[in-house]
Amino acid sequence: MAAPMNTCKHLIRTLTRIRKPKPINVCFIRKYKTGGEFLYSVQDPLLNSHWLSQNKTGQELKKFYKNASIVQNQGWFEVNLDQRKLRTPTGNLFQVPSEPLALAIATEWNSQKETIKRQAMHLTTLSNTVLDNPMQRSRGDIVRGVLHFLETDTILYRSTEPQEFLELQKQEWDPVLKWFRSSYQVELDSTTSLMPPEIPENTEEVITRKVNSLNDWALVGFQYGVENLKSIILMLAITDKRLTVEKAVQLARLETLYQTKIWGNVQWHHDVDIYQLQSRVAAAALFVHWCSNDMATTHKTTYSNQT
Amino acid sequence: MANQQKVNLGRLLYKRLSREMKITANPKEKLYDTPVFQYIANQFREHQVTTQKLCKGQNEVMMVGQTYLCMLESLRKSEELAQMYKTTERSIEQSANLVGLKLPTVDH
Repeated sequence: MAAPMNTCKHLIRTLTRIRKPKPINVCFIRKYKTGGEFLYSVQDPLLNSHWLSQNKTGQELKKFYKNASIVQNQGWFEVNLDQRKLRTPTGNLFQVPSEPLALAIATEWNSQKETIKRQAMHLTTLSNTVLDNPMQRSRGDIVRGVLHFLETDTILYRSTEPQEFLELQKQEWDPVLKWFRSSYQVELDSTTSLMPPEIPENTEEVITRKVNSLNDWALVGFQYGVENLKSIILMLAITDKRLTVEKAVQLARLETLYQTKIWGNVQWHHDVDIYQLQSRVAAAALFVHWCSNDMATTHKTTYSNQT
Repeated sequence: MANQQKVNLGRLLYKRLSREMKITANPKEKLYDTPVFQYIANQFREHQVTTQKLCKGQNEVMMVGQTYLCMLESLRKSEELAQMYKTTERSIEQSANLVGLKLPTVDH
């Protein structure tokens, strides 16, 4: 027992003697911290995405304009910050296909107080994602990303204990599942095991077609909503105007809700989580609604008056 | 009866939307002049009689209004909570001092 330990120690000693002693780089750690961009853990809702409101030198961006307004240009809507046109992070011109969306984005910019908080501007971020496509995703990539959630949909996974929680799941999630099955004419069963449920081919086809029917803009919004709710079925219920955003977020967090009822609610964690999730999912739902073909203009030369 | 309920819901939505817009809007301008508020007011006026114009679903326009209201309220509340529970993060030196350690010195 002692022999291998001694050889081990000896080995380490010889190795360290051969190499030059490295200076412990404290400066590097400090720079990483104040450079500040990716330090904060993404899990913590309060410190989440603080980096978005800092520019390259790590200082907070002050509000550099007085008023944000919209203009119409060849069927697209642009946002003007005090006479200067808003641009995307890569420098492209910021254009959206729908008037209420542009108005809502202008409101986002107008509601900034002294500093710019990009983490509160969900609609702007979604539009930037569509315009820039920073990860070079094709439509197929996005659709595949969404369908990945079909077999890991939140409301399909039931836990068998405690008994009360099982009842709660049946009570809350079953009606939504029933609506989904009847309105899309598909079969999809819930499961109580860790393995994903068997997805019949017909179901996959129908859902693929449904997701593919969204145009490029609505697709990005839809994917963002699915990612946040971790469930396609709940997002479809929202876009089909069957559930409100508050109710859908509640259903997505059912287990947490059940646990907080028993063990107590921590305001600075649970409530922050609820409000952030609600704002993101609501932004996604609005994005899908306003960018879908009946609201958005598709012609570049003429503006056909809608609603 | 159902109609009256719908009208009441509409009024409630309008009131809450106006309140949110007032909170987030520019204090110098009158809310009435902003294009956003005019758009909202126009939508309410247009869909006063029925929201089922242009083959839209029964509650669609109301749901959109409620979704937008939800977004504005959630943003405001999460910001309030962030301000309420805001703390400054300790520096590395202070965190080390908490457990009685000192930072190693740098060798150039």
